[in-house]
Amino acid sequence: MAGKTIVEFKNVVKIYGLGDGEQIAANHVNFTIDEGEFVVILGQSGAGKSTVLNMLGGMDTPTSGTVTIDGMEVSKMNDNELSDYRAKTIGFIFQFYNLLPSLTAYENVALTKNIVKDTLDPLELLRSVGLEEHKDKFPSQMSGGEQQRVSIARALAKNPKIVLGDEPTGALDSKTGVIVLELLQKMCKEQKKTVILVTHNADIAQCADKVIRMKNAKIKEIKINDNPVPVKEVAW
Amino acid sequence: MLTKKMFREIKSNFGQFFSLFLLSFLAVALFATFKASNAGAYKAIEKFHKECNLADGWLYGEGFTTENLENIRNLEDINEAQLRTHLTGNSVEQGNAQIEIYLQEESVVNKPYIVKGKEFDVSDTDSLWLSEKFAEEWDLEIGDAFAYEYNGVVVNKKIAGLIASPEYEYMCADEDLDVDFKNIAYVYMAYSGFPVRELMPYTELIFTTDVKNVLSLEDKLSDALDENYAVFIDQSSVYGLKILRDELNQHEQFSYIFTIVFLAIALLVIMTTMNRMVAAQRTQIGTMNAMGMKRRKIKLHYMGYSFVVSLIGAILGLIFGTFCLGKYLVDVFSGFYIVPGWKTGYNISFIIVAFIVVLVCTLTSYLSCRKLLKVNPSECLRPAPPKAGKRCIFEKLPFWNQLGFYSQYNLRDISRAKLRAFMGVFGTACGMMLMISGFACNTTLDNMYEWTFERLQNYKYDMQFSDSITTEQAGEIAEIYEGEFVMMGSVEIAKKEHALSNQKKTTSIVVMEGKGYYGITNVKQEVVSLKPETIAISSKLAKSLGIKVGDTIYWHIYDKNEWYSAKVGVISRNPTVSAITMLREDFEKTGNKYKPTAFYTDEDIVGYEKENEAVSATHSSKEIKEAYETNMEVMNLMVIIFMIFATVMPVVVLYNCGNLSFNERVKEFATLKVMGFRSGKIRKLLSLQNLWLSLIGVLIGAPFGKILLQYMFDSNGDSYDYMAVVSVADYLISGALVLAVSVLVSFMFSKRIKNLDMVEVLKGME
Repeated sequence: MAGKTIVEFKNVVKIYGLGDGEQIAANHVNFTIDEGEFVVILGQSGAGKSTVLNMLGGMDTPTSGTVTIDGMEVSKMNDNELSDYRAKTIGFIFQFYNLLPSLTAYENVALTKNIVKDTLDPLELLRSVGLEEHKDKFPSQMSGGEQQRVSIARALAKNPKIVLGDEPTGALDSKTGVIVLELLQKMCKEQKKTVILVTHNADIAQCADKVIRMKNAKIKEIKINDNPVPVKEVAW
Repeated sequence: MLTKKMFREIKSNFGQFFSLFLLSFLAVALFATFKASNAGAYKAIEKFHKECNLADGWLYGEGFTTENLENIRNLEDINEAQLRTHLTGNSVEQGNAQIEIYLQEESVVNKPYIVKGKEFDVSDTDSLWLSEKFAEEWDLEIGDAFAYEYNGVVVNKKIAGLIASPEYEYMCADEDLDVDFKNIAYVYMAYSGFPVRELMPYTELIFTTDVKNVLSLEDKLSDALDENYAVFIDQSSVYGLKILRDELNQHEQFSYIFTIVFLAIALLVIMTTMNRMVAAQRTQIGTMNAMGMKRRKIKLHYMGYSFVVSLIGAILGLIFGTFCLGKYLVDVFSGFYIVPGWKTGYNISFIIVAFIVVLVCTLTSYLSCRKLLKVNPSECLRPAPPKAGKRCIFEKLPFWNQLGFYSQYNLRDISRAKLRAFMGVFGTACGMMLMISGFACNTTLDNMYEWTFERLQNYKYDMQFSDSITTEQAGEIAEIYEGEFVMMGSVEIAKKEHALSNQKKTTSIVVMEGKGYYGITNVKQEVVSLKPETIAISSKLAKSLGIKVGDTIYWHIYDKNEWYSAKVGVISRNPTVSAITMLREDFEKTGNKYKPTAFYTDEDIVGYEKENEAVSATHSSKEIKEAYETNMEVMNLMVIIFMIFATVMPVVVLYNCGNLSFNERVKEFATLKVMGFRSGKIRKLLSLQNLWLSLIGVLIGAPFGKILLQYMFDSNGDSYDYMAVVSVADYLISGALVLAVSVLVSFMFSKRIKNLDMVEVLKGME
């Protein structure tokens, strides 16, 4: 089922601070991710997983090494190029949803029209995440799970190749968390999206095609799951 | 420990806290400056007036008798009363300076204040007492001889004392545009020391009383004098007292206005700074709370920032304002006004204002972070929940759906943050108002110059006459030169006959020949001519008395008792002359003698004062224009002050609004950025809102510029009638500049948007 390589980290090093305050957040990180894979980056806090995600998302650049995504060398882009890269290639899902409070659910999804030309129909997307009836609600009027589903719809609206999630279930109870994860897994399989999640929750890793385990800024293990467990069967 | 945290954070937010320091410092310092000078002035004035036994009432007439005096003294409410003769003459050796002469037989009321020399002695017929400032200017010492001339009589006496008088706290020679102590003096002398005593009646009767409303005594006084007097006034109408009092009042107003303005900006700064700081320290607050720190202690901690900074500002302001700026102000103004012993003073109000500034700053600090401090510790440890979004009023607009994303987004944001929007609009409106006032000051001055020299003063040369000019001397001039005689004097006017003192107005009269050299303009500055048997009245006078064209007014010459009536033909306007104006033929019909005070002509008459002793001075229009321009230089200072305020105000306000806006929405901007919005687009979102608010502010502020300027001109007093003129260019330039400031401020944020740390912001970390 694996397609062509879409993400490649080659000897990536990220160092924060200077001199004595120097802190290595990524120490010679190497891995690849194929198109259509459901990947979980697993690790305790401080393991370097968020640093990797940030570089994936073009929110941060490596100190050395190269990050190549969909044939583009992200590590060499400037501010505007990075913005365009984020706009076209990446869909983000945050732990705390980060919907724009002054826009309704529908408008939050439709917002993507201001970023890229070809967007998917916001209403259709809201329907697919089961929130069609809530389209006119503001974020403050929705539950956490509902807000996260809007956020998924928003991430998909740009029709990105890669969906990145930073602890997307971290702020949700397990029941809502399952719904959100199912949605992500379904989307990965049906729409052939590459989904990359960062989490410290080892249970979630069971559902992934590939698990990248990090510790002390290094990759400790890369495991391919030949038979990922359906989300429903996972309990946490 | 918390104190350490506070000082470190003040250091890391130095810019914000320094501006708070500066603003609280300025608020208190300027208050103390004006108040210190005023408090000192009031104290010195009170002592001065008491020592001189300053009169409460002045009666002017053609001649008072000792019998009149007795009758007044016998009135129940009168404490002391005295007669005196007041003349105006010229010095003999000191360049024809204007000399106000007081001849008296006793010295009970309005006693001269002795600066140097011996006490004023009414039995010493060989000496006179001369005003100290004049003596200083001309190097006259006690024992020197001093001569003056009145009506052809030269009086030469020895100077026995140098004096000051409350009636001349402010003094300016009639011919001068500005205070020049070289050109004016007053002299006290024994009545019997004046060589000619026939036809030298007592022209003034002055008295003291304990009655508060002095003018209410008029009926009784009038009965006691058998209505034989011309004018009755109290202290508020004495020119020499009034000008200083008006000035002090203006300073009093300034002290409050400056304090309020600076305090208001300080509050804005506190609101934005504290709000941002507390929002950023959410988790810290939660942690402190979770650690078991009392909420009260946390609140006090956050109030401490503003308290400490504003306290330091207020204390330094108090010291600097009172002892440095206040002293400087006293030094400057004691050069214009004569009040012996005027030093800086202070009173409890200084401390109260400083206290209020600190209190308000601290309280604002509390109010602006109160909401954030209320949250539960557990919630505090998590990032803030989204602010409630709701439908805004703008969505009812029929074209709402046609609006672009930026507009919709910003409109919703504005309706969510009304206070911030209001501050933005208000700040720019104030800036616009000041900016227009500043620019329009120049336009007004240009207009006044043109108005004065092209419509009002239509002559190339003028000639001033001394008081002693005869009809023959005037006739001689008329034979040689082509021009126009003008007579100026003092009158009292009223709307009805037998008006009481408080219904009468003291003003000037201009009697002209209607040849056009002396121009009259109406309220629109258009040149008009005066028809025979009508008079013109200045618009400010007409307004205060409620007079319209066609009304009849009543007037009499200031020191004569007989009243006349006249029909108003024109409401006139002149920036520097407040008067009634009439034609010579109408004036002469009243039976009064026409005694010109000036002659206006296009012929070169410079130097003629050497040939005709009735001529005291001649000027060319070049000299007049130069004097006029020097006098107007004061205005340039006003323009500069306006401009500084006008630029600083929108910068401070818009920057702080932008800051507040940026910090409130930083999470949204980070989200947009992560989603792929370019920095430029986000900046557009932020600047667009700033620009809208500024544009509204500019539109609201525009009409107030003219109002403010007119108000400032009107605060100069009733004798001036400047007309604020704002040109279209003033509006356009001011608007463009204010908007430019707004755009510039927006650009100050573009770097912050570019460097926005999306990761940190979205993680809700500190």
